[in-house]
Amino acid sequence: MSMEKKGPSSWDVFFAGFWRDNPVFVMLLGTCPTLAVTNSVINCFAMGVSTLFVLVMSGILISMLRNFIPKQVRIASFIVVIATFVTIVDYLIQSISLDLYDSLGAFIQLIVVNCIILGRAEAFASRNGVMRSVLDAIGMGIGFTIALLCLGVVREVLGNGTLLMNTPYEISLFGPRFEPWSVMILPPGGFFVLGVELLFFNWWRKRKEARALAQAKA
Amino acid sequence: MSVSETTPPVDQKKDNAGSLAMLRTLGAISFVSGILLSVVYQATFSRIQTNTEERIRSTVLELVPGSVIQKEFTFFSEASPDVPRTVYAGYDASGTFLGVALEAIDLGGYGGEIKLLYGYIPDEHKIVGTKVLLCKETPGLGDKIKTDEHFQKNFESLSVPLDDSRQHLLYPLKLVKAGAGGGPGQIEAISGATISSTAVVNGMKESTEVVLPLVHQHLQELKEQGK
Amino acid sequence: MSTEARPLIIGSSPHIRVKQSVPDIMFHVALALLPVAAFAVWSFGLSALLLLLTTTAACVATEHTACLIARRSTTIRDWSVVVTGLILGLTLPPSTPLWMAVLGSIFGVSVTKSLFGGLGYNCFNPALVGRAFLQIAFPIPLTTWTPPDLPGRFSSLLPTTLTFPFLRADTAALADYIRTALASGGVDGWSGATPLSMWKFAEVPQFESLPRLFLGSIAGSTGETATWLIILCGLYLIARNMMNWRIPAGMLLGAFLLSGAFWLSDKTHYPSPMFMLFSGGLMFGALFMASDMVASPMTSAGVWIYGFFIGMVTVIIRIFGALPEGVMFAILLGNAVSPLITSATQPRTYGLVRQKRWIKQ
Repeated sequence: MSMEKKGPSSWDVFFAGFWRDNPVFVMLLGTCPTLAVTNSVINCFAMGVSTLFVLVMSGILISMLRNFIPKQVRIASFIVVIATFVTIVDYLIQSISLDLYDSLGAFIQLIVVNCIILGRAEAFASRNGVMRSVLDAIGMGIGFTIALLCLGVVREVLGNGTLLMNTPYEISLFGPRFEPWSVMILPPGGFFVLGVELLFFNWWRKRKEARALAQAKA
Repeated sequence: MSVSETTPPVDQKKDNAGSLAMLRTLGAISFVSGILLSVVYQATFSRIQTNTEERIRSTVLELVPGSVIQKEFTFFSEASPDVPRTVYAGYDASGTFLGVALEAIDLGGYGGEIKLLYGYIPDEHKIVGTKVLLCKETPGLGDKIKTDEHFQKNFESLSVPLDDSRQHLLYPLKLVKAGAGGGPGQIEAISGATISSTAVVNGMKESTEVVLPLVHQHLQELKEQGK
Repeated sequence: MSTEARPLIIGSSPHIRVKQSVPDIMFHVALALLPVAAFAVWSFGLSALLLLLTTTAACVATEHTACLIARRSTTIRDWSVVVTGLILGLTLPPSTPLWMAVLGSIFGVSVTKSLFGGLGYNCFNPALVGRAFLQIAFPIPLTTWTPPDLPGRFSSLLPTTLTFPFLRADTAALADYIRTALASGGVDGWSGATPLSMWKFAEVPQFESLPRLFLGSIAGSTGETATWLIILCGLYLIARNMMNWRIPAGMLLGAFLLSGAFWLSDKTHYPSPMFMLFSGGLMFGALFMASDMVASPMTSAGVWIYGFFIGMVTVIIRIFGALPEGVMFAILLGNAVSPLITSATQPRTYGLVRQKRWIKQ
C-alpha cells in the first residue's frame, strides 16, 4: 500500500461508519430497506448482517480491480459485482433457514440497489487499497446494522409489545393486555420513527458542535 | 481469489479507454461472476432442496395425525386440467392410509403470496388443522395467521362434507367477522388482520372445492399405494 | 346604461377596514363547534364530555409545551389549538379510551403543527392527522361504535373510556355494557354498526332512513351524527364571512355528483346521493375540516377544485376502499395536493399573456 495517499488513519476509517458518517442517520443512504425491514428486531439483524457481507465482499473485489476498470464502465462493473454477492447471500440464507428467507421477503434481492453499497464502492473501494476498503466496509456495515436496530427496537416494542419476536428468545415486555400500536409495524411507523430519531441525532450533533465552538473561543 | 490474470491491464489515467478495453473488462467481470454463482448454486442446491422437502415432510406428518410415512401424488381436475394438484398422503408404519395434506395458495395477502397446507381426513370429511408454509405478511399483524390460536381453532376440526353429487362442498367456506362464526363452513377472521384472513380463506376455499372431490375420486388409489 | 346607479368610489388612503384577526375567527369557529359538542354530550353522555375535555386540554397542553421548548411566547391564546382539540374529540368514537385520545392529540399537534412552525405552517389539518394516526394505530377501538341515547349515559361512563394507559380497550366489556343498558330500555338487538358499515358490510346492503340520518339518532363519531346542527353551525360561520363557502359547496357537489352516478347505475348496491351526504362524517368534514384556512388552496378557482376533489375521493374510498368511511383520508389527500392546486390556478397578472408552463413560486 505504498502508493496510498496519506489520509485518515485506519482506525478512523473503521469507526467513521459507526457514528460520524453513519450511512442512515448522517448520509441518509439506504432508507428504503431501513423503512421496509425494521418492523422486527430479528429482521433488522438479518438485513444488517447480509448487507455487511455484501459490502465487505464487493469492497474487496472492487478495490482489487480498481486499477483495471475503465472509468466509463465502472458503475456497470460495480453493479455486476454487487449483484453477484447478493445472489450468493440469497442462496446462503435459503440453505440456512427457509423461515428467515420468507420473512426477509424481497428485501434480500433489493440489497443490490441499496445506495450504501454502490456508494461505498464508488466513493471508497474504487479509490483505496484492499485493507482500508475492508475496514471501511465493516464499519459501514456495522453502522447500518446499528441504525436498523435503533429503528427496529422502537418499532417492535411499540408495535407488538415484544423484543425478538419470531425467535426462540421472544420477550414480552408489557404482558398480554398491552394494546399494540399497529401503525408502528406498518410502513408509516417507519417514517415516524426515522423522522423522530433523525430529529434527535441532529439536535444532539448541533449541540455538540456549538459546545466545541464555544470551547474553542474560550 | 485472484482475478487480475484474466483482466487485461488498462491504463486508468486514460479517461477515454477504447471500446475493446471496456468490453474486455465487463466480459471478464461477468465471467468471474458467472463462475462464482454457479459454484455457490451447486454447493447450496442440495441443502435448499432438502430444506424444502424436509419442511413439507414434517408438516405433512404433523398435519395427518399418527402418520409416519408420506407419499406425494399429483392429480388433475377436469375443471382446470392445466393445474397439477399435489396431494400428500400420510400412512402409518404398517402402510394404512390415514389422511392427506393439501396445498392452498392465494396471492391476495397483504404481502402477496400465502401458501399453506391443511390436513384432511377423507373418511371423516374433516379438516384437522393448517400450517402456513409461505407468508410474507406484516410481522405482528398479518402473520398472526401463523400463530393466532383463535384463528387456528377454526380449522382444528372443521367439517367439510361433500354434497350428493360428490363434486362440490355442501357448505362452501366463508369468512365471517371475529365472534360472529359458528355456522357450518364459517371461518372467523382475526380482527385487525382482515386482509390476511381473507387470503387464507380464499385459498382454502378454492383448494377445498377442487381438491376434496378429487381426493374422493382417487381414494382407492391412495389407499392401495401405502401397501 | 346608467353610470350613476353604481358609482365608483375612490378614497385616498388610509383605508379603514373591519378588523378580522385570526384569534377572532378561531374563537368564532370554536363557538360554532359548541352546539355540535353539546349535542354529542346529549346523545353519548358523560364519556363524550370527558373525551372532548381531554382532547382539548391535551392539544392546548401540547402546543404550550412545544412553545416552551422552542423558547417562544405561547400561542395557545389564538384559539386555533382549541379548535383542533374540539374537532379531534368530535371525530373520535364515543368509547375511545382517553389515553388514546391524549396520544392522538399530542401526535397531531406536535408533528403537524409545532414541528412545522405553528399556525400558518401546518400543511395538514392537525386534528385529522391525529385522528388518522389513531385509526391506523388502534383500528379496533377506533371502529367500535356506541348507540346514541343509551339509558344511563349521564350517570356512568362507558367501560372503555377509563382504560389504563397502554392497555387494550376491553371491547367485549363494552358490548356487554351496551347490551345491558339497551335491555333496560326495552331494546334487544344492537348490531354495533354505523349506517355506513351497515350499507357496506351487511350481506344485503341496508340503507338507514334519511330523517334518522338528518336528525342524528344514529351511531357514529361523537360529533358527526347531527347533520342538521352541523349545517346550522356552518351557516353561522359562512354568514359571518369566516369560512370560505366554496370549499364545502365544492365538496358536497363532488360527492353528490359521483355518488349519484353510481346510484343511477345500480340502485340496489349503491346508496342514494342524499344518503352519502348525510351519513358518516361528510357534512362535518366539509364544513369544519376541509375548510381549514391554512391547509386549503389560496385561489378561488383552486378552492372549488379542492372541494370537488375531496368530495369525489370520499365517495371512491367509501365504495371501493377497505373501510366504510373515507372523509378523513380524502381531506388529508386534499391537503396534500392543495399547494399544487394553488400554484396551478394562479390568476393571470393583468396585462400579461398567459404562459404555457407552471408558474414558478
